[in-house]
Amino acid sequence: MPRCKIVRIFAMTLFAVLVPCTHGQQPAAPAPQKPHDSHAGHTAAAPSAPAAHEMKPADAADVASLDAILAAFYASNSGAVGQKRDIVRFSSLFYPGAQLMPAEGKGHGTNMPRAFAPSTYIANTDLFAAEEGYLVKEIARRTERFGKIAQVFSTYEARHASSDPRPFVRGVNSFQLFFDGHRWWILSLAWQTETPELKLPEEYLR
Amino acid sequence: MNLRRRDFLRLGAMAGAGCLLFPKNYVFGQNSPKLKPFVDPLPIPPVLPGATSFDIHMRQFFQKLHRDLPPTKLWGYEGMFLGPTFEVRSGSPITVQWLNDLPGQKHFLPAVDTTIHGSESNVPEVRSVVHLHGAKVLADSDGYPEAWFTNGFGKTGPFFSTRVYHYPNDQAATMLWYHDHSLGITRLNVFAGLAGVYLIRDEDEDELPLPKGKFEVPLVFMDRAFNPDGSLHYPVQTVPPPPPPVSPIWVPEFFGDTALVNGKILPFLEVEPRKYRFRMLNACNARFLHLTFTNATDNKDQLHFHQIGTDQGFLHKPVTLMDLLMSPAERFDVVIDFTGQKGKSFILNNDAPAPFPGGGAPGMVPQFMEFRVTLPLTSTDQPLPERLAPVHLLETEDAVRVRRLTLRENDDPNGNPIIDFLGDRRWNEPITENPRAGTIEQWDLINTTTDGHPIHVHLVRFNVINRQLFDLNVFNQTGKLKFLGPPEPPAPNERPAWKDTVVVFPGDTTSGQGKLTRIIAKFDLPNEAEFPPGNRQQYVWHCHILEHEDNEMMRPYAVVSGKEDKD
Repeated sequence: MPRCKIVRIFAMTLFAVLVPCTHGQQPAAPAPQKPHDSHAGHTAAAPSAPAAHEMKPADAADVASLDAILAAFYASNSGAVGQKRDIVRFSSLFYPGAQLMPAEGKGHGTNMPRAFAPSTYIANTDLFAAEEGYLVKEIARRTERFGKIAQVFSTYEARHASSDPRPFVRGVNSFQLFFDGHRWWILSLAWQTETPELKLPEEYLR
Repeated sequence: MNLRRRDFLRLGAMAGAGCLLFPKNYVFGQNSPKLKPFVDPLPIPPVLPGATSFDIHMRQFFQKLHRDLPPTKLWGYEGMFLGPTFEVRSGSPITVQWLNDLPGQKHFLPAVDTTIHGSESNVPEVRSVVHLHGAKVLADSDGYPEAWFTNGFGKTGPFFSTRVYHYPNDQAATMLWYHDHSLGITRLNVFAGLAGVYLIRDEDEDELPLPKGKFEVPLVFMDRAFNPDGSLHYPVQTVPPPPPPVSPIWVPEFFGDTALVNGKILPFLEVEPRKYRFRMLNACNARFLHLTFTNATDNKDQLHFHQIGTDQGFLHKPVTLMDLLMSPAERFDVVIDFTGQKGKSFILNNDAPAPFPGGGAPGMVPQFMEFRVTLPLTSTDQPLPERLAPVHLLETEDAVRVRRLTLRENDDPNGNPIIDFLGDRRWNEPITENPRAGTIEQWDLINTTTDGHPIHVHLVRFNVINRQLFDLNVFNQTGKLKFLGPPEPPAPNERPAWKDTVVVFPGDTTSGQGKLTRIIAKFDLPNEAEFPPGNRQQYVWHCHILEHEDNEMMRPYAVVSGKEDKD
């Protein structure tokens, strides 16, 4: 009997999700049925538009300029020990469907980046921030803009506490942004941390 | 500034590198020796002789797992892999004294992570405790993860209370399985071989015209990885390890590159051209299985699975399926009909992505075993019964409580998994799920992660009610559930049926969708045991991806007599 797989390509990312399904199964006698196909079938048919539009709109001051939206990004992504970060503010900066992709984030045996929705990223890392402290700030920036679109290489460093003499992590946030005539949106964010083999070049530090 | 231990470790790493050292990669067992498939016959674990009390010893031993692989060091019950099969009657209790005869002070798999809860450096590494998965037992015989014991009961865990476990078998005919459940090292002890089958029979089953005797065969699926010398290979984090709080040794999931059935690598089974009943168990640490049965020379020639039972007994009628999706710890009772297939060979294939459903992990185990229809027909068989056993579903209106329980992954800011949580709580936090004995509760399992999680609730059997997509962004930001569509009915082999392990599927998290799975259970104690008001029988519920279970994706719960505890 024929079987198939649906390879679902998430076009905005390099992230591919392979989902088994049984579309196209030929009936047999008695007709075979597919168990546990609720994931494949119903996900494919489900509404795809996220509901971020229905969430609290961004503070106009946060999205009025490139400087403002990046400042709001770092402010809402930062949290001292014991502090809850502002997930609503963080999410409001992103265009619906935007994805966050850590280039070095592994964890599930794959070399492909995992992609997070903005709210999922904050929710998943909240415990770390609350217990360890995560104070992140921009230390350098390179911006390319043409009309409504911009791409920003934003170099960052993070400390557990403001009194820490040295950051515990540095890296580059690569933003894709869009201006709709009224506000800026973050369309996507990929980031690469510095590693022992991959040092930040000087041009990204000034 | 006061430096905590993890800060010290972190600064130590920074001194050399000047920055945080994130893991370069996770090492997965993908370099096992290439072994010729289907050269070894399928072993059938021996059935223990009929008795009412047993002493079962856990031992270390070497066993050939493939013709061309040197003997492998293993741990197993009664010194075998798999362990021997129990075959008992419903309503006839037995007792088992589980004896730890395992040697040494160090686990022979160098993968114990002392940063994991319950597995700290002051806890003996060679410890064990046995859980009979799916059994309706009192708490002191359930194999509570902290009721571990060492060789000769030299040391015992804080919840240890008895050397002899009582199994009342107060449940319908089904296939259970027993395996290690030691806090923080279950993944390693099961990987080492500590698992076996436990069959409960009853009169209803006796009367059904199903294949019996040599025509009823257990099939226990596992994946493993091996070194060239035949030893087991369980992966750890790369060196240098990632900084705390990411565990330095633990890996989020194990996916091996070598398939085993009943403890043999890629075996074959010679069968007659007739019906066989296969008692199937996914005993992999983390790997979901998506199984098909195809002709070895023509993959369009496919046999059907006639599923007749699941975790906790018979379906009400057979369900005919082209393929099966099995998560870890699920049991499927299936009949395969080889009638008219004389001379052919069939392959049991697997193409489930790992992790499920996202995929991406290197290596697959595309085949598990071969069936050769080569034996002459020795006896006739009968048509499958149209009706098997009634399944009286629990009604949602009878639930005294609906609990919302979130499955959540916790990452470091670079996206590396640290741990997964159930109900947003750690193992050591106070009990929050405390159903009253004899009452019905609905548990809504809210999956916010990208993975499917096989959730197992000890003590009880349950019905799957439905699943439903929800807006993950709204949930993350407000804690409120905004559904994105109608409830999805369970698959025909999930409902009507009794389960003890359910796949809590993810939504499409990158599109902002989560998925909720609703189950309903009656929290009955065995033989309607009564205790003074306030008595608490303490069990656990957890993800049966053993790496998740070992690292916080497990919570205690208590069945309380008399009246419900206040939260």
